Amino acid sequence: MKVIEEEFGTAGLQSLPLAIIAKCYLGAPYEVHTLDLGAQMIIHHYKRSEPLPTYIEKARSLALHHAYSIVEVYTDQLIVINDDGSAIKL
Amino acid sequence: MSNQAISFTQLAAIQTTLVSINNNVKVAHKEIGVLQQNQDNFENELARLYAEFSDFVANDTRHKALQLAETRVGNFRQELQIRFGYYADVRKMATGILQGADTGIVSDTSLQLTTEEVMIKAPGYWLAPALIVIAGWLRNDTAVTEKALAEAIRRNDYKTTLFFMLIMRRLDRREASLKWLERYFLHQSPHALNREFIVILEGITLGIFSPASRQLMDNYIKEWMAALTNGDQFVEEQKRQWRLFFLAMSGRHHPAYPLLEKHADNWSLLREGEQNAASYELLQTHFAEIFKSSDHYSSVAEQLDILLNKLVTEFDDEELPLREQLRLNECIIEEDGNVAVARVKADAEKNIFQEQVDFLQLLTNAAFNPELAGVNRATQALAVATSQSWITEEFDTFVAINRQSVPLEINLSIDGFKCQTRGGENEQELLVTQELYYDNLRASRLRALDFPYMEIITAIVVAGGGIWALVNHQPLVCCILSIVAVLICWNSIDSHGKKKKKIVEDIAGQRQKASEVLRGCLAEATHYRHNYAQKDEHATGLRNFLTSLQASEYAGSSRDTSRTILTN
Repeated sequence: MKVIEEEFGTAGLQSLPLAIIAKCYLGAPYEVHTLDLGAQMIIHHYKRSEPLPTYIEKARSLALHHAYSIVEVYTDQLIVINDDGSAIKL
Repeated sequence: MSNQAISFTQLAAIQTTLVSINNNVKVAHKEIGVLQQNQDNFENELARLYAEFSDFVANDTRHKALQLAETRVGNFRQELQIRFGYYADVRKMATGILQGADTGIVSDTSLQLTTEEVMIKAPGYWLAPALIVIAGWLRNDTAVTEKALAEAIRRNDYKTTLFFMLIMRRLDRREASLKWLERYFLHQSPHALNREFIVILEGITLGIFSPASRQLMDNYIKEWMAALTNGDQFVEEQKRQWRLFFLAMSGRHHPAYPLLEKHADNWSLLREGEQNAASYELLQTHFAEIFKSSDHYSSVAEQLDILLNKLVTEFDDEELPLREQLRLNECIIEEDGNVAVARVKADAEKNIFQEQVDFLQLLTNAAFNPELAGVNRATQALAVATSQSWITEEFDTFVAINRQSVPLEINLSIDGFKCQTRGGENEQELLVTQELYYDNLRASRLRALDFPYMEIITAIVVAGGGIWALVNHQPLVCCILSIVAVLICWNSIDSHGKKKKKIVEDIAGQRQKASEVLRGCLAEATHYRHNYAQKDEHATGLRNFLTSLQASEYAGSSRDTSRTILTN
């Protein structure tokens, strides 16, 4: 909770990401994994053929791209974090 | 119930009828096959004709649009010449008078007569009294100079102010030039600048202003940039226009993957993805070109003459509607008659033709089309470098949206067999699955094929008749009926066998063809991913290039100082 507060400040529950997803480097068959809100702990590794929950699936191709480090999934938008730390709102 | 015996003649007639029906059914089957073949051929031919006709209509439309645009360009240029042609003569006089004064070979009387004639012939035009000011000033006629100056300012305050600021700089009267510049900036709002403000930017990149003037401009520009980039409104508007610009660069590449086009259910997304990705390289070349070339002028006087010429020729608002129309038609010619692409391109440049724009828009105009905005390449580079933060942001968004929209899986549908691949890496697995699909298809078709029970029952009945004839001591009838029964039985079983064989052969043919198509699709999928990745890589290159831009590197240093003094 402390990490979340540090990362997202006083943001309400509504404005917290639904999920954070990143490329998985374990190798085949795993390709992406979800992270906790502090983006430090891996929650679940997903295999290539394994579907992500519907609301995260749209972020899969971006998470797999080598140019991006993580993708934050919100109810109404995606925030893609570049390798250099800059953010892209979609 | 009547016990009516079937006579030999009747049995013979039944047999003849059955054989005849059988033959008719065979003929009908054959004819249906031929009809099916004809229909397939007809459909293929129709599809080919439709494609050819569509191509013809598209080419014809483009050709006509191109011809129309060429005619219109001629007409608009002619109209500009007719309506504003005389202005061109007046404009030439501005630098002509200055160069005449430089050399001292034009008499004051001649200058007076010529400028006064211009005043009469160009009513309402701001430059006419401005020229009288110069002529009056050269012959020390204070009264006329002041009156003419008041008139020029009344007709167009800002252009007159800029005009005299540049003239004072040309005559090396720096104090006076600075005063004119201060006067100009005092009246400007960063939210509504006139188009001619671009001349100031042009002056900055050319380094023609004195250090004091440059300092004044830098202060104003920094203040304006801070004010305009503080909220989202103005930057968002520029981003929107850059998005249009990026989109206008897409759609020029036509990916050629004939099998994927035919068999991939999500082909439109794949095509759009590669089209957009192809624009990254075009954009990279476009931006690299801006920063590669630079215009070279020999002296400050020459540069100032060019600026003066631009100020008096390119920023007269009454010509704007015609110039906007002219530009649209020029875009149609540039795009070889493709009106849709030309319109997107012209829309992206639309703001260049607005009479008043905010400072950020002014930068965007200079960055989009330097010729129309009236600037050189160096100013275009300065405008791009100054706008780089929101250009990069919008480019990042454009690229990320595209990367997201390109499907991870290519959904193939070949002859009813549906499968997925990313880049053809699962070929063996899919070929095995396809084999299974055809095995199942063959089994289900064979199951659906009815065994000829009716014919066998008929044969049994006829054979029963034969036994009845034998019991009644009619061996000949028995013999004939037995033969008929055997014939019916053999014919129906043989026909059934042939149908089974045909199904097996058909499926084998389909399987062979579909397997080739699947291999082709997978090969194309591999090429697609490879080509897309190559094109996509240009996005990283362009991003690195854009983020490395620094506006200070592209603002020319003042020609009046050869050293930089660092102060704490």
